[in-house]
Amino acid sequence: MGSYILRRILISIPMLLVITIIAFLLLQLAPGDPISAYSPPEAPLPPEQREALERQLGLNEPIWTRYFYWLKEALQGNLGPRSRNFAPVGEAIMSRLGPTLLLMVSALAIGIGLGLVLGVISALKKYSILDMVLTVFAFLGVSFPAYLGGLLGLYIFALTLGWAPAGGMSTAGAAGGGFVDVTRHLILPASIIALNYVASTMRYTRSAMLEVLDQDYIRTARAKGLKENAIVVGHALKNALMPIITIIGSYIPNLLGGAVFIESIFGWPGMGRLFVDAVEARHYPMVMGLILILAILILVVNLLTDVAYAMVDPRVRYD
Amino acid sequence: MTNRDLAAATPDGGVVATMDAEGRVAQKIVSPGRLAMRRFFRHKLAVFGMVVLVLIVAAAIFAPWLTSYGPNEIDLRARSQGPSADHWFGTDRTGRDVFARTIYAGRISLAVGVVAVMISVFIGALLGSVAGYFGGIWDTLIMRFTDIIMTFPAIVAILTLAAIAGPGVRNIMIIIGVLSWPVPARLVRSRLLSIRNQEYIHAAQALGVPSSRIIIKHALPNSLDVLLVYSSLGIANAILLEAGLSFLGLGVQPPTSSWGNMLNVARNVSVLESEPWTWLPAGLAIVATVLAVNFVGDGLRDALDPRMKL
Repeated sequence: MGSYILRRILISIPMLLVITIIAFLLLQLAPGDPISAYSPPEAPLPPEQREALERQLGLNEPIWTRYFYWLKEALQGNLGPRSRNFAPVGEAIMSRLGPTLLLMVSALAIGIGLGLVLGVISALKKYSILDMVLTVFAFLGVSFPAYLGGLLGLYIFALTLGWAPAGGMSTAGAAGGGFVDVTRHLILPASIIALNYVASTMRYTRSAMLEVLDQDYIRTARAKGLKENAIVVGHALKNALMPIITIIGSYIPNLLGGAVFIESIFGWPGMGRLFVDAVEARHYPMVMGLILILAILILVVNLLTDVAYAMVDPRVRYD
Repeated sequence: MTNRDLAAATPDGGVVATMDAEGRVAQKIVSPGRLAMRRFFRHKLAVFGMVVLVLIVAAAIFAPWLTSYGPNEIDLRARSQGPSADHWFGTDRTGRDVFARTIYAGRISLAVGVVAVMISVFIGALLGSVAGYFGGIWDTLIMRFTDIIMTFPAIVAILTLAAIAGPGVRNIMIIIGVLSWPVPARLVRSRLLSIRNQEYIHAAQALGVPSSRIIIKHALPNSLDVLLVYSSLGIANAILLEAGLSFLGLGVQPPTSSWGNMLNVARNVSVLESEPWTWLPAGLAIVATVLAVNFVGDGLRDALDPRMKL
């Protein structure tokens, strides 16, 4: 197991390098003056400062030199200097990492938890009215883009009904920032992101459960008089979980993509919003830094899913 | 109607028994295409989706006949009005008719979806068939590359490219198309892997038919079913991506209306709260279209190959 994890980490490194090389090359094609992000348009930098900044950013070097320079600095934790509207890149990203992870993990927990429960119910009562209603809901759930869900949720629950705050992560001032306050701000955006995942987890759980419930060992369990609850949870769900874990791993890229919209709509101070702001401001070192962190996050989660898969299914051997 | 169709009795066979008016039973060979059509039309949700889709496409094509307002016609005396007999979906802050904008926007959004999918199918079929047919180092290189693209959130890559290439309908089509090819590439590849050792391919190779011709004449026609199903689901995805991009203001630019940039006005909280008629129709149009396309795709998959995993 240990050597498997080590090998997976070693394979991830070239993948990460390829991603950064592609992103770096593409960003070099971007139009516009990269220096302009560091000074207001009405007061361009004096030539000597400009030159110093060009040297610091390595703008006069050939592209490969610049890439290796970026890589060397990135390895030392320096992703880019402070600019007009942004803190230094590494610092800015780190301060946004926590809120994004909080939002993502909550959304995933709601999505998977609810999806598993509804999927099991749907499988146990297959072809009933309830099953059909849930199926229609699942189709709606996967067809509902995050941005529309965000707008409708904000309009209905925050602005019209007033059940939830309209945005941000905490109330401004001394009253804000506590656990209850953050939770109140978290529930609406997290539930909206979760909607998609409730729908698809439910569908996968349903079909995995239906497959498992047909197996001989379920009949054996029934025959020896096991309680129905024990059969469903202990025998059926445990075995149905295996395919579902791989599905959950495949959620991650989309989950982070959805954060871009939801964080922008709800003013959530996370990486998704930072990304949109950086793209709008053409602050490319920030874009580059965010792509790097996202890629690392995704590769780590992929590794974790594979490890979790091995732990749930002792038949899986990695060697 | 002299023949009564007994197809339901043999849903998946190639032979269909029919009974004529005198009660004589005859057997008829049915082509796979016709069988698939039959299975498709028996799929209620798919037929429903098809009807909705035809209505939406018709509304977009015949937009000038459905409304007397132009999509960019500004009427400063009629700003921010709610729905009325004059303006079915009301007007926005510059007095443009929201109904007209919604149906004209359908032209842009649907066109982006269709063109983007055509681009991705072209690239995907090309790379997928090279990987699947030649195998070896080509296969490894192309498939590792698709892995890398697929692990990355599509919207992040698209936003980055949109910032680099600049917004606009043409750029959006190209960007979405260029980033969506991994799925069709994988589908074509796996199909080619399964047929490349069949006799007719060996026969063609033995006759000295060039590889490019074998791929175009034999391999790709055999991948049409998976590509068709991908195309329907891909269009839904492309429409969602375009709308997302335009919603953030980095896609289709005003005054051209697309469903996504009509949602963009709702980023302003006062519009979101007090003028829901300006953004809700575009949002519902997106959901209706995507839902309908998904139903059709589901029906196509069941009709062409019930075991197909996509």
